[in-house]
Amino acid sequence: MSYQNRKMIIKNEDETKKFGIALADEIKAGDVIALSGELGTGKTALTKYIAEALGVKEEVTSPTFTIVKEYTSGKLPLYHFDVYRISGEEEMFELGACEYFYGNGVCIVEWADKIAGLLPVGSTVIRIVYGENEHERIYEISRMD
Amino acid sequence: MYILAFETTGEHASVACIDKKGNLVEQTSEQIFNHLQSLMPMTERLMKENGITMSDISCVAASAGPGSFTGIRIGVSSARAIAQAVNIPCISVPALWSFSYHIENFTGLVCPILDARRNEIYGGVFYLDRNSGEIREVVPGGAYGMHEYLQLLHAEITGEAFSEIMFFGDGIKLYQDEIVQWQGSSLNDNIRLEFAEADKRGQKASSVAKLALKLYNEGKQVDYEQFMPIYMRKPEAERKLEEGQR
Ligand SMILES: Nc1ncnc2c1ncn2[C@@H]1O[C@H](COP(=O)(O)OP(=O)(O)OP(=O)(O)O)[C@@H](O)[C@H]1O
Ligand SMILES: [Mg+2]
Repeated sequence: MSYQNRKMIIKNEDETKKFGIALADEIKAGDVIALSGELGTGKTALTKYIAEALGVKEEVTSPTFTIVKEYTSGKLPLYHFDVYRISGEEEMFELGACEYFYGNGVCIVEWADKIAGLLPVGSTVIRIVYGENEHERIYEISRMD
Repeated sequence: MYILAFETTGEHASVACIDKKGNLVEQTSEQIFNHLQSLMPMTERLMKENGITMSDISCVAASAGPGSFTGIRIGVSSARAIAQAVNIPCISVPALWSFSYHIENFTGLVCPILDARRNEIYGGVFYLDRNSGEIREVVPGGAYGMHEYLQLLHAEITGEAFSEIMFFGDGIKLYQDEIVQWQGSSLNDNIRLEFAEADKRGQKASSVAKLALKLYNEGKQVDYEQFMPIYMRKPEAERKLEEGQR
């Protein structure tokens, strides 16, 4: 992906959407996108825009209580994880998460740093931090190795 | 008396029945990772075709892992369910050890390497003494980096004058070049290194059954409730420690 190892300044939610669309354009089956960042930095918001661009018809809502939600109406199956409530890698492994990560869909994982050791080599890692202004976010993008 | 044995930790599911004398019948699914659909119909067919009924089965064994996460769960759950339903014990068969029985009369070091992802393998080194029937765990089964694994193997070869090595498992696909390179740079010419032929590389219920029979004779049966998967994942704490040291 052309976004690798770079820092982007996202000025507002509109740019988050643009970023999501561009990212969705390059997504292939088997890709894993690992999101991390404080509460409210827009992990779910970004996921929504990616899902929309993938053609997902259903409304994407935060899977905090279910850990994972599956969306199959888009051009690729999308598995949206929120692992905030997971105690760590062991618990996540026991839930069978690796079967998703190494499967044929697209996985987007919120709070991915909690389970970093389970993410496949080559996952796209996006660390989101608050910018100077209210709607500004900094995206630090790298590749898991 | 028969032991029913499941192997679902690899690509192809298989099932075998073995009697006290070691006579075997086996069926293997051609399909890839379709264990849930194929295992029970295949088992029924195998038993029917060989005139084996449920009352002939005195114990149910399954390969407990390591291997495919879902596969392990299917094999272990199926064995547990049958054991509970007909009130017989289970035998937990360590997948890596079972490769010792893959090649009849092979007398060298058995080296199963399974892709554990993230640049690791699940591997071990085993030696089946054909005279005593005992298996020695020369390098303990566990999660290793390939380099680390080859170092441990090397120490054993030089220490004990083994002259034959055979690799098994889906790790060959990924690490064949590295192994061949290692052979060229570290092994004496008198040591024969082979990769098992394609149809002998993967996990097999017949080998699981043979090991199950050995364990049965040693009285290693367990209650279905005690039969647990062996994923062999390194605990997170240990993993982090190692990453910190790198
Ligand atoms: N540039 C931006 N990108 C994304 N969201 C933004 C941006 N600016 C403002 N917002 C707002 O910030 C909020 C982000 O909430 P969201 O639920 O997506 O965060 P989150 O990172 O998923 O939080 P949590 O950690 O609770 O899962 C939304 O209300 C969104 O409208
Ligand atoms: Mg969220």
